[in-house]
Amino acid sequence: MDPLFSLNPELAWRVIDGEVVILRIKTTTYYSLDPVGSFIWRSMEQKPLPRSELIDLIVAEYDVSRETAAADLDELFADLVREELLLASPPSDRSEAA
Amino acid sequence: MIVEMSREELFSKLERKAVPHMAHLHLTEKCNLECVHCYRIGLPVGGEMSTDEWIRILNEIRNEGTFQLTFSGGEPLVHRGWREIVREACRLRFRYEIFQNGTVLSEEDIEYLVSQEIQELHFSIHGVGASHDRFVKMPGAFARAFPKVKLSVDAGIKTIVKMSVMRTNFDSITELGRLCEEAGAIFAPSYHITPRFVSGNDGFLADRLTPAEIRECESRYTEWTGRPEFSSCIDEDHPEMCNMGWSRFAVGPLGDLYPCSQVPESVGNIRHTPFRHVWRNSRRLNEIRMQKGTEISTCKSCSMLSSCRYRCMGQFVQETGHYDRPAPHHCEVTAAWLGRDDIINGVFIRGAA
Repeated sequence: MDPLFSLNPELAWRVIDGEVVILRIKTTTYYSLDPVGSFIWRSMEQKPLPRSELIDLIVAEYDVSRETAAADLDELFADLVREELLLASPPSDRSEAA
Repeated sequence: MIVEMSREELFSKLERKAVPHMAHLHLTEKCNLECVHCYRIGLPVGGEMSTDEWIRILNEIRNEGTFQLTFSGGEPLVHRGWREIVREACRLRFRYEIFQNGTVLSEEDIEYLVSQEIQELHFSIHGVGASHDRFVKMPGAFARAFPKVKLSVDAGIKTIVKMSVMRTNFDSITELGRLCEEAGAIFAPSYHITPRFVSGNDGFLADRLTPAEIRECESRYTEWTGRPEFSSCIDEDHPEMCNMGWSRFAVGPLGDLYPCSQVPESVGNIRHTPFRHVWRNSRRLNEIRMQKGTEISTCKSCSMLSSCRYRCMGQFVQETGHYDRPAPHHCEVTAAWLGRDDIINGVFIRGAA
């Protein structure tokens, strides 16, 4: 089972001209996402999503193969998790929560 | 791809797009104090916006890109719906701060603000003991307000004590600074005293600091505050003018939209018209925006221009009624910063150095 990814609730973000700008409120550090990153971020606004579902969304939105979408997503998520903008819940947490 | 940006880089980017990044919201003009220097005394206090109206506006400005809020007044905690408004600000993930005087705030309020993730709590305290009480015209005001500073610090809130320095309270700076240091609060004295929005009774301006006193403030500022210099809203990327109406704006308690909290001229009203419409279509706001980057004819030949910290159109308007006309007081202060003495009876003798 894929890990679930969710947006860090300690952040603020705004969509400006289709581009997501993120504010880490406590440190006043800002980040911006490119159009694909913004699309992925906004896809997760309502609820945490598993990696496989996000790949499906990217393939449906952009003219890319599943492999390319997966590689791009993994690269973005590595950056987002490193910066603690994104939280990953292991599958075991989900089963326990359920 | 993600890109980390400094505050300055983001502001520059947002300003180019006229994204209304920072909002100063005057929840009410009502106040329980009557501070000597208050530039808002005399503004109407009836018919102010309800809690629901403010909450609608928070949602509108969020959708236009606003990140940062300052709740102010009047005394904002006098607004009966301030807790609900703050809760909505937290829910919508604004970074917000509150400017208040400490006499209305309770210990429970501080706990509430912690729960609503307030970022900064500002106290307007202008002296110690009777000095402050005289300044705000309320006996016992200091004794009511200052203990809350420590409570706020202890609650983990970034706490700032702002002192408006005039000749009448100048002697209190050192002691207030020491008390703030003991309490763990940031001490922020300022000598930017401006005329009232509603003209008349501006006699207090005669008690603004003299250039010599300003020089002393400058020379001892780091000692008092631990910070390098007085703060400024000057945009260093565009040093000709400030960013009012481009990335910052203010809203008054009747729904009037202002390019900045320092400007008394409304450019539209968002009580019954969506913020987006006024922000994008106000002819007057666009005219004011166009002033940014223009040369100020009365300043362009001034030898102090590169050091002048008075490129704030809001202060120009308050002092002279014009967006492009500095007041002699501005020139005096700049000369004081530079240690120049070519000021005669409040008039800067241009090019005399």
